[in-house]
Amino acid sequence: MNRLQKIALFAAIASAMAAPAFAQNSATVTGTTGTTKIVAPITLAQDAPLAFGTVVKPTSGNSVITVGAGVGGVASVTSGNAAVVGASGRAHYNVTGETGMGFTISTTSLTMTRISGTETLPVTLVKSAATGTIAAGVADFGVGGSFTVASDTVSGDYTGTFNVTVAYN
Amino acid sequence: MTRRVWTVTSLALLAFCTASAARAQAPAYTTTTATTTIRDAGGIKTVGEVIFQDIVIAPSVTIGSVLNSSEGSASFTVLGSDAVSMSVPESFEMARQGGVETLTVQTSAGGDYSAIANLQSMLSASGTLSIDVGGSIRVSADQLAPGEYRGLLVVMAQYN
Repeated sequence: MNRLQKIALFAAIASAMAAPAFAQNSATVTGTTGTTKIVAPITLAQDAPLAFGTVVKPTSGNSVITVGAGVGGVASVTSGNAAVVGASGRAHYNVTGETGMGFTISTTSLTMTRISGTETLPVTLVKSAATGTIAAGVADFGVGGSFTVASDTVSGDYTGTFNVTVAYN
Repeated sequence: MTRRVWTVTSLALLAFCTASAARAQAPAYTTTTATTTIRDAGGIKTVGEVIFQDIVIAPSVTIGSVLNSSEGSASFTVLGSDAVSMSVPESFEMARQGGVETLTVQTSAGGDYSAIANLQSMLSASGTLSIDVGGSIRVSADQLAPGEYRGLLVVMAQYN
């Protein structure tokens, strides 16, 4: 080790010894709290589909058929001279999860297509509520909808599907 | 040193991915089916009315008059595309024109036809069903005022 190397080594050792002197200038906070909340998973189950029943199409013009999303919602004619007969009702869902937690409700769009055909009936879906709160571990809500039937709508059975999603706020 | 850094980084990424997966499971969804059945507009058309013959009543004589002929029966055509129910009253009233006296007509086809299971099969290929409704009146000379009597027979048809 020549003289120059000795100087360099000394400088490195001196620098390393100086570092702890800088650490002493830092500040420390104690007692910082870490938190989390563990909640039950949210689940969704459907116990009734959306049924518009049998619709006797109008003799002329258009009619709007509506199933209300609220409790007891069944099909009715909200415009035009069509008629509805047979069993109908809103879709109904049960939610389970953590009591007190709020959740949002969302749906995809719905179009019903004639079985063995290609004709379609677009449906405007409506929810009984956009959000909900789980009480005693459970909650429920409904989904209804409306569509337009015309005097020249092709007769037959129509069906379609849509997805309903609930998520914690 | 480099290996340790990569190990820590990998563990951090794994933890992040696990946490992301847990968040994705939070919402719940279900698929719902919606249905409806569209039917042709139905209807009922009166083809003919109930017409009773003129009745001549001898004093103190009770007369029973029954109409079964096609000329005198009411005739209806029911239109539709599926099973229908019909309701024909057991009787209906006729009132004297210009008076208050009434006659009760017992119909020949009165009843609730929704119980007739084969009514659907009676619908023709064109979606029509013809039905005749006759009737009978029983009068006595001391009860009946002479004159012209008219009444309203209400027949209802609807999809089941």
